[in-house]
Amino acid sequence: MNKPQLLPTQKINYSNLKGRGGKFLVSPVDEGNCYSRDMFSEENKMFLDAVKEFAEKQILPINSDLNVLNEKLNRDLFLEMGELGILNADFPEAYGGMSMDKVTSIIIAEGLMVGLNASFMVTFADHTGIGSLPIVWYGSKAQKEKYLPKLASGEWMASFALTEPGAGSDALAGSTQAVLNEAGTHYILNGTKIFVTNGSWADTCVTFAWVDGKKFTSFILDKDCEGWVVGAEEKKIGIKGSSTVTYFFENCQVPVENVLGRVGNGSAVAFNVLYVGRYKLGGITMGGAKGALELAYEYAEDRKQFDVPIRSFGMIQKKMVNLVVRAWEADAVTYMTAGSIDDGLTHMDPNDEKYYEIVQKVIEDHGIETSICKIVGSDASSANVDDALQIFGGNGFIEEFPIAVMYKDDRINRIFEGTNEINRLIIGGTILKKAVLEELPIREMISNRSRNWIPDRQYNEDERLNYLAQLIEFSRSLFFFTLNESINYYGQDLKNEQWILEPIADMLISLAIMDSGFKRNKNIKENSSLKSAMMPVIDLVIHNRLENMLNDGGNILAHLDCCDNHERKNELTVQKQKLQIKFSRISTMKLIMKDIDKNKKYYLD
Amino acid sequence: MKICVLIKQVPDTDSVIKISNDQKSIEMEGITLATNESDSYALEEALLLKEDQGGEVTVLSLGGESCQQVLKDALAKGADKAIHLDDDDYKDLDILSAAKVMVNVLKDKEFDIIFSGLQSDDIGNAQLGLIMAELLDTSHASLVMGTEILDEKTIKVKQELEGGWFQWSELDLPASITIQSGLNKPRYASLRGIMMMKRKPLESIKVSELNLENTSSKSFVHKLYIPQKTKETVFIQGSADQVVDGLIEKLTNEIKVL
Repeated sequence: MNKPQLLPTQKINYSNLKGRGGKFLVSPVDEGNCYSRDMFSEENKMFLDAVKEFAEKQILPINSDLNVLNEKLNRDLFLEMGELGILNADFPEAYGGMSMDKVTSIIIAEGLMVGLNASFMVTFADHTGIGSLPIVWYGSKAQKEKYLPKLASGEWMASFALTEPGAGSDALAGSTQAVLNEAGTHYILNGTKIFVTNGSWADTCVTFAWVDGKKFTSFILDKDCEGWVVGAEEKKIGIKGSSTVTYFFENCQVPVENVLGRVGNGSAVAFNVLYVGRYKLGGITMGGAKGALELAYEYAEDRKQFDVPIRSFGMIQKKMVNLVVRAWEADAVTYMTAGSIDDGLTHMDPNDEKYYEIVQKVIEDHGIETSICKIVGSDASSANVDDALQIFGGNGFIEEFPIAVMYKDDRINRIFEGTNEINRLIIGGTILKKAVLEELPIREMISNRSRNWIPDRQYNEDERLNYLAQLIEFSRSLFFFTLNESINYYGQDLKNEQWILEPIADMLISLAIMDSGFKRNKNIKENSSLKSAMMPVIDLVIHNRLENMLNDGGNILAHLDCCDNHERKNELTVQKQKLQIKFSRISTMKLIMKDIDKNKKYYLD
Repeated sequence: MKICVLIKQVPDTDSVIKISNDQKSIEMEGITLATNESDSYALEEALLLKEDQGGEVTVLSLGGESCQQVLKDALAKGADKAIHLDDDDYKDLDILSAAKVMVNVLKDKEFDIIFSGLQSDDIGNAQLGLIMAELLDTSHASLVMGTEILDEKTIKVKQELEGGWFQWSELDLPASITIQSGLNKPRYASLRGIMMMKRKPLESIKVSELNLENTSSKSFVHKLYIPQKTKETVFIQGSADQVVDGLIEKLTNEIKVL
């Protein structure tokens, strides 16, 4: 291969892509909308305010008490949140919930993080997500009636036990066995599950075992199941106020009616709920990234050195701007994802028998987005607690300051709900699958963009926005070019090439941020102060991410060139020359800082 | 039991207040608006009475379009109806005129109780409840810390007096009662409450369309300013006993902490 092939232009029907996973990837910035917080309904805004108020008054004041194991405090909060609908927004109305949309569940995650307590958020997210959702999705009527009302009200707490000593990211490598007893009344479970969140407090547990050694099956355990033995609390680096234990199943007797879904259907139960965990964790970590920012800003304003607040120093200001930008990016992709899933479920009646089957399909279809939410959120939160701690200086290293606890609590976010590495594999694997199965017009895009990396069209009336749109479309073309070259070189084996899949996933992440950030701007009222204040943020984000794209794409292409002695990277160099970059990073960051000082709003609420 | 709660939208206590150039108002840009604190307690007291006695809670607010938000918050928390008096060209009504505007709308509605917060956190007149009682010819109690319905015609109220004293009184209904903060625990809006809010009536009435005879303001804001902070150091001279006596005298009579 010396020159890129010129393929015929193919027409894409963008209106068919509403509510579809991966839409952001194939829709140019002037095609279609993208959900953002600027589209919140009046109820959404009121609910966010109500949840924030709850977190500020009920969680923040007892923050340090929640940082040590205290079952009663957690249960009391659960009961209060059950009354208010915060705990059970995702539960079906028929079983004490509210059957709310996904945007609402992100609003809850973001709002609760105002309480700045990661331990409680883990307890909460485990209960409402992987602990209860499998019963909502796969439970029989009798199972739902027995468990959901009490889980929805907060009377009971849920746990989820999948990981085993020999089965972490490779979840199906577990060795827990289930054997039907002679009377045919109970399955007898034997095995060990580790890192079980809510473990010592939970009243129920969704767990997994191999029936007859070959059928991976999900079960619901409750306190009536003899042989469910709870181990000691783990000593963790952070989230010390959440319970994490080992479960030992010692001839644990589980009634046959507690099989969740069908025998042999356990992997669907396990994997489908994990998608939900990911975008919710995206919401929580996005809230955490904002929390770190608030703390850092407040401190930088109060703390004086050399007779001036440290906020006035350039290096602190640079950190402040980066704190804002990361939170802003996480915000854009998380609400984009939740909004797109909700779009996929419009016209669906939550009382429909097939509703939860379709919910799972729509969420699974958004496998790329849910992993992006998890990675972008946890990376933003991780970098933000680090920068914020640095702004606190020596005080940040003292545990009396909340940032020190947040720093330690944050580390787990890049590990659980699928490590960020596993999530990058999911992104890479899913895009390949969508290409092969033609779930998205990827071939069409490869073909269309091979001709011209920056299609010649007016994307926006505003000159600067039009220029930024061109950078995004260039990045989109670079992605498709790189993907196509990688597929051509590796063929089917690409799915096993982690050296390549990681930068491909990173390119997709960058593209999702550029695309959703730019499209968010369209949702904001013309001539509003928010719209003009956000311009430098968009400018900075797009240039930052373009740099990442060039770096990741360039690395992949250079490697392929090395492998077979072809010159793919030349094409990138040629196309790149058409970009006329007009950007000053320092001036843009200074502009953002000026606005942060003026409005103290950070464009985030 | 028909209860009305008068609610005012005021700048949130966390807002940074800046005075406008004309020195007669504050700059509203960047200000977060919220329900006046004691009005939240008044609303909670009304909702508790409704839950105990049955009946209906109406909330009323006088102000610009933005004050519909505090009414919606009240509806989400459990109030049944809301009335917004849109003050368009009548923004600077003094408290007597504001009360007359409200009476104009409330006089025929036969409320058993009109609750209001003790005073607003912005202007702080602390007169509305009393004037309402006068204009509507009802009984009145201020600084109320507790309520108890005795029968259809009587309410018992606990009032805060000076020096840590309380007084229980019985009032005939209808009554206009002003509520002191802290007597109950205002509830949070629930998700269900927020979803129900849109289905409840929120009536908006333009003040200019009401009969406004005798409502011209008699008092006006002359100048707003932020109090000057002064530091003053006083040296008490004399022997140790004289210094101690002097100190006690100042702490008792001037600073009033003893």
